[in-house]
Amino acid sequence: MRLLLLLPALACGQAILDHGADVFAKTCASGYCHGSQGSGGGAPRLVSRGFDESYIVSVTRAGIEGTSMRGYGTTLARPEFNAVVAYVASLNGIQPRASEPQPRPIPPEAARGRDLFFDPLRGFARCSTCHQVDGSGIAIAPITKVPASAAALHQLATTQIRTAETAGDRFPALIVSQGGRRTALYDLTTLPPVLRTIDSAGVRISRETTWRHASALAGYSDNELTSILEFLKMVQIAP
Amino acid sequence: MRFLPFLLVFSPLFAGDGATHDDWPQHGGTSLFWRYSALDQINTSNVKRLAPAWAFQTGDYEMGLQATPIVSNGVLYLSTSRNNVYALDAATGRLIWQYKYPQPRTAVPYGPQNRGVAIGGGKVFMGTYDNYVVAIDQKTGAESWKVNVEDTRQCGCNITAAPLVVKNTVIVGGTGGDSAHRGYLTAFDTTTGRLKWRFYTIPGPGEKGHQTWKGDSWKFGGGATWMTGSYDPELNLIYWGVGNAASDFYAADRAGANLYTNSVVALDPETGKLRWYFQEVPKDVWDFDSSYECVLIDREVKGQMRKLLVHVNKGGFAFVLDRATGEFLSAYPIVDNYNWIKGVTEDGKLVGRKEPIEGKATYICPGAAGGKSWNQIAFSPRTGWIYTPSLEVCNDVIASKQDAKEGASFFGGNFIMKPPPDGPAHSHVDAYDPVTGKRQWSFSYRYALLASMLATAGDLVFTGDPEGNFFALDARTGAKLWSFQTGAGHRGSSVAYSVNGRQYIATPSGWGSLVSNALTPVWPEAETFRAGSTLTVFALPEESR
Repeated sequence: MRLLLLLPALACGQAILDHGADVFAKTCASGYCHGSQGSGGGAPRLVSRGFDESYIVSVTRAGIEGTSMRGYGTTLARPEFNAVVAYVASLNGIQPRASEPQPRPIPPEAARGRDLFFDPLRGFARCSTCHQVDGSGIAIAPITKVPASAAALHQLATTQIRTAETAGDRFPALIVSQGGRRTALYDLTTLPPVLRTIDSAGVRISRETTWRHASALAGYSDNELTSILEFLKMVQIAP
Repeated sequence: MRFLPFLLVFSPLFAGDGATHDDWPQHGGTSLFWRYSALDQINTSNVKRLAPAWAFQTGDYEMGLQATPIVSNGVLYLSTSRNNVYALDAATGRLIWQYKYPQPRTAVPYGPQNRGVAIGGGKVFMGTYDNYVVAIDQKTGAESWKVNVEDTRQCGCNITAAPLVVKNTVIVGGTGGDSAHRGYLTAFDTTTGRLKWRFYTIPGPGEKGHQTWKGDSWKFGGGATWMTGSYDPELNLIYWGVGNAASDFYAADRAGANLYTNSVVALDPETGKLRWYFQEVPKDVWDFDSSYECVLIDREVKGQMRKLLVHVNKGGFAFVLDRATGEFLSAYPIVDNYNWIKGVTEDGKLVGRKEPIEGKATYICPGAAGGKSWNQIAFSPRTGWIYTPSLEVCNDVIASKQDAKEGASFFGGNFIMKPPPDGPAHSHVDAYDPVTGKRQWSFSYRYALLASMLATAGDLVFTGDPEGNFFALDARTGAKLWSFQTGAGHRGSSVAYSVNGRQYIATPSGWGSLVSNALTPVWPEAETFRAGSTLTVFALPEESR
C-alpha cells in the first residue's frame, strides 16, 4: 500500500500521458473535484490555466493548506505521481520529458515495517497513534533514537511519563505544559492519548509511574517490531 | 405508552415526544430527530410580519455555513466550517465567548466543512476537519480535551457531522466513503475524552457479515458515518445511517452484499454493540449512501401503533422500519425521476437494478449527489407528515476498475450530472404521510434546495434556497407565506427557540459544500450562488406580538 512500486521506466512521452490520464481519471476527475479531463467540477478547472510544471509538482505533492486539495506525494507511487503531473502539465500546454527519474527502492523488511507502523487494521493499537514519522502519524511523543532491538524497544525508558491526579482519578500522563494557570497533558489511560487541559490548582503531578512503553506494543510480535525498527533506521529521526 | 421511571430522571421529555420547546438542545432538535419545534407564537396568521432581530457574521466563508445551531438556556452555539465556535446571547447576538480552532498545516480530504456541535455535561463537543474531537467548556469556551480519531493524511477521512451525546458518551462519525477507507463510529467519555468503543461498519475477519465482502475488499470498503445519528431513550438504542460501499461505482472486486454499508444500524450506546441492522442497498454501485438522519416517530401501521424509524437515502427512497427490531415495513420514492431500481418489494428487496457498466456511460437517476442531499427532513406531529427536500438531477456514471490505495480517492469511476428525463433539473419540497408515502403537496423550485427543513407548531415549514431567500411554507398546503433575502445561499439547518417568551427562528446562510460546488453542469447559474457565513435570526416585532 505504501510500498513504492518500481514500474519499468516510461520512456515514451505518449505512454506517460496515457498513464497520467488514467491516474487522473481515477484520482482527480470526480464531479466533486476537477471533473473529467480537468474540465472543472467542485474543484477548479485545470485546463489552460497557465500552470508551470514546478507549481503542478508542488501542489500535487503537498496539496493546498486548508482546502480539500490534499498532497499526493505519499499516496501515489512515484511513477503514477510523475505521470499525473505530466498529464496536468499537458493540459497546460507543456510536453512531457522523455523519461522520469526513478526513486531509490526501500528494502522489503523496512517496507513491511512501515506498513506495520501505520497499519490501519490495528485501529488505535499502532505506532502512528502516538508517533509521527515522515510526515504521517500523530506527533504526541517524538522518536529521538531508534532502539537496537525489539527487546530494547520493550524496555525503553520513558522518563518523561508522570502520574497525574485530578478529581480522584490517577492516570499516566505526558506533560505538555505546566506552571501556568492551566496544565496541558496527554492522558495515557487508553489509546488514543487524550490531550487534556486542566486548571493547575486541580491537578497534582508526581514523578513515579507504573506506565511502560511495552504496554503500547502488545499488538506487535518481536518479529514485527524488528521490521518496524528497520523502517525507523531508514527515515530521518530528528535528534 | 409505557413509562420507565428512570427516564423521567434522565430526559426532560416524555418518551415519544420529539418536539423542542424553548431550547434547541440537539442536532435534530431532540434525539428523536424530528426537527420540529412546539413553539407557535410565529404562525401562519402572523408570519408575514416576521423580521430580522439580529445577525452574526462569522467571517469564515470557506465552503459555506452548514451548521445546525444549538440553543440552551438562552445561549446559542454556532460552529463554522473551519471549526471556530461561538457562544452568543440568543436574544441579542452578543458574543459571550469564541473558540478559535488552530488551523491544520495540511490539506484535508473533503475540505473544511462542519455541520454543528453537541452539548452535554457542561461541555460543547465538535468533530474537526482535521479529524479530532474537541470538548470545550460550555461556560468559558476553554478547551477541555482533544483527541485524534485517525490521521487524516493517511485515512482520507475527517469529521464534518455534529456529534451525538448520550448520557456521558459522545459519539462521532466520519467521512471517507469515497476514499479507500473502512468506516466506523467512535465513542469517547464526555468527561475525560477516553475511548469508550469503536464500531466498524464493515465486519472484520471472524465477525458476522464479513463473508459479504470478497477477498481483502473489506479493508477499504467505505461505509462512512458522515452524518449524525438518533437516540431512543426508551429503547436505549442509537441509530446511525451508514454510507456507500467503496469503490463507489465498481463492485466486481467486492462481490457480495457488503454489510453494513448502505444500512441503518442500531447500537447499544454504552458498548457500541450491534443490536440490529437493515441494509437498504446491498452491493451499492451508485454512491447511494444511507448516511442520512433517522427520524424516530410512533405511528399506526395497519391498525397497530408501531415505533418507527423513517429514513430517506441518497437513492431517493424513504424506508420505514420498526426501530425496536429493524423489521422492514414500507418504502416509497421521494423523487419523480428514478431508474436505478424499478422499485422495492413488500419485504424490502430492491428489484430491477440498473447498474453502471465498466468503461461506458450509463444514465442513472437520481444522480450521485442524491435524490436528497444531507439537508434534513422534518416531521410535524400536528399534520402527521414529513417534509422532504428532493433533487431531480440525474447523471452519467462511468465505472472503472480501481485498486485501493489507503486514503486515496476511490470512486471506481466518475459521474457527470445530467438533467432528468422529465425536463430541466429542479428540486422540490414535499409533504408525505410518513408511513404510506402518499404525497400531500409539493413545492417546486428551479434550482437545488440544499438547506434542511424546519417544522413548527405554528404550522410552518421553513427552509432556504441557493439564491439567498429564507422562506416559510404553510405546513398544510405548501403555499409560500413569507420570504426574506439573507444575501447568501442556504446550505445549513435553521432552528426555532424562545427566550423570555419571545420566539426566534435562526438560519445559517452561506453557500458551499461538495455538492453545492459541483452543480454547474446542470445549473450554470450556480456560479452566481453566493458564499457567506451569517446567522440571521428572526422574530415578530415587539409591538405586534
